[in-house]
Amino acid sequence: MLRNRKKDLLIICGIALAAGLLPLGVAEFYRYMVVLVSIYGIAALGLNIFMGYCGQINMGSAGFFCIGAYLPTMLQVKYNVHYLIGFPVGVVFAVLVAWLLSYPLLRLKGHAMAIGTLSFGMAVFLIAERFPNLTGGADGITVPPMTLFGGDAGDKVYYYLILVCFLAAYLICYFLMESRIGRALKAIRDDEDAASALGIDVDYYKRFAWLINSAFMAVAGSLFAQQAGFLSPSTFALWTSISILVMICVGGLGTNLGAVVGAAIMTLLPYLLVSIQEYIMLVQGLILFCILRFMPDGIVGTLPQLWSRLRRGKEPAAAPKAEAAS
Amino acid sequence: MNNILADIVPILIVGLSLGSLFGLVGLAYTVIINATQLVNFGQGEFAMVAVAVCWASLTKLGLPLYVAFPLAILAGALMGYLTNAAIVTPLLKRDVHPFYPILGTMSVGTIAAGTVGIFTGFYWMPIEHFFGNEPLQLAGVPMDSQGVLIILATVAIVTGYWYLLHKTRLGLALRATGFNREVSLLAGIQVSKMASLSFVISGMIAAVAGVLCAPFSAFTATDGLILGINGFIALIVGGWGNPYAAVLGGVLVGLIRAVIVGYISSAHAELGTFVVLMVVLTIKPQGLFSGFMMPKTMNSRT
Repeated sequence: MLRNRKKDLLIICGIALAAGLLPLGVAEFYRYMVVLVSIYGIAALGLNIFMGYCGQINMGSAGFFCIGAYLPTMLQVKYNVHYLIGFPVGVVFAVLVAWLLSYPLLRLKGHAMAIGTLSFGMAVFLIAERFPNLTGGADGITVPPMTLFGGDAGDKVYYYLILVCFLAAYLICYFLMESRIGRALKAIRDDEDAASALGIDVDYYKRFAWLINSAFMAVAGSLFAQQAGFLSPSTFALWTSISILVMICVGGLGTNLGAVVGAAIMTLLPYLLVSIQEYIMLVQGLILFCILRFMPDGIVGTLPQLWSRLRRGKEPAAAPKAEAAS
Repeated sequence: MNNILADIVPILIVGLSLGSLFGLVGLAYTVIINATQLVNFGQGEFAMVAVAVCWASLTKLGLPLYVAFPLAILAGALMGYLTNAAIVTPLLKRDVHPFYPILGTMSVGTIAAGTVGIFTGFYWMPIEHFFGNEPLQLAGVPMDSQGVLIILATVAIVTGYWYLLHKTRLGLALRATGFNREVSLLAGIQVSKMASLSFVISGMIAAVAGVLCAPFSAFTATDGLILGINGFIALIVGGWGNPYAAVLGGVLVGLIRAVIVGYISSAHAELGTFVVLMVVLTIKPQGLFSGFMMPKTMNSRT
């Protein structure tokens, strides 16, 4: 266990180092890709804690994403508050909203929770769209660039800010899920009644996962606002919640790596398909369909199985057959 | 005072027809819930596909409405059958996260929306009013003929579904499947066929709702989702797993929406709907009319 952890941490550090050195050597386009994957990676990691580990349903995560994006921007536009102050304020505000919402929403189960969270996400979107003097309305709003020491902060500062946030998010998820809290969340996912019988405070841990989810979403939203440079309410419609949900399912529910892999695949896909813009919706649907139908454990859950099956050769080929039959 | 009364009758009629529409979609959800306890997140797209088929056969093939409408219903039924056969049944056989079958229906919906979008370029698919644009005059009150048609169709479909569910052997089998899958299997009911049938019926109801709605507000390939969400809200406000409560919930949501549009502003209508939903979820999560016309065992929420 400990040795495994050492190896994991070494790999994480290696990737972080590689990403940190990236701006020196490669074209701006690749840096942009890393930024996008990191933003959606943070969002997917947050949702994964609530859905993958805790086993609940959240279809309104774009609501927190929206709060995190709009609040620092509006503070900066209206009251000239610096982005680095507005950023934590936005996150704290999103967590506060999540805490208030947790009382009506976390009592619900299954489908009622799905529609409850979905309606929250839609409500935030509608507020962003229909109240122009609060948010700039449907026309959107331009995000002023971040300043540092009186001058423009520039792309590189921003790149490292995102990288640090992403790394912190990943490490938080990594250590959290190995700890007592992570085990409690998994117990709740597997059987709520049994977990409660074991003395796990189900409500407390559910609320904890929900707040972490909203905080990560808000962080991703704030970073997104700076990256995009322009906010329009339609960015935060239902489709954003669903696409983040699709990310964690494609990568594999309940694995941190899966959330990041899923985010990478679903974010980079549109850039591979940029010549056939109209097909994106169909392709996303097809990917989700195929993943659910043929590898329900997601990419991270299935590939190691396939790999070990290949390495063992033909002999244990009976095992998967038996699995399919049962 | 007289003015307010003169205003309120058309508003109520618009609300009633809009509400019937939401109720129909809610009913379509409930048909599947009753047999399988699953929510079909592709429901709105069933309606959208039906509208697309109807629009294509009317404008591209030049077929008359009485051919195009049944074709659209057939398309809805086919969508329902395919959704069940392609992803819901295979996923139910495996031991996966309970949310996966629902995501599966969503993926079918997305594929449908993407495919229709490619053919139509995500443009409007307008269908003309069935009986012309002239409003009906009833006791001096002008009414949209399409709205009246929706209300009548809803009444007819709910009555038909009630008859099927409570007066036929098939309905008994459907109800038994929803009540307890294992016991129904023991009693010799073909449970998987019942699930498939419920998807087909649900697709047909959604198709009727979609085609009747299309003259009101033209659909694009991505608009199915909005109709689906409104129908789902109707079902949650009304009552989980109770077809009549879903229709009543739809009517209530539609009326509230029409009153907001009529007296406050059309910009806040959707927000109002979501506020109503949140309030209902907070004070009465099982739905406002959950016991209406149903024995207690049928609307157990799992």
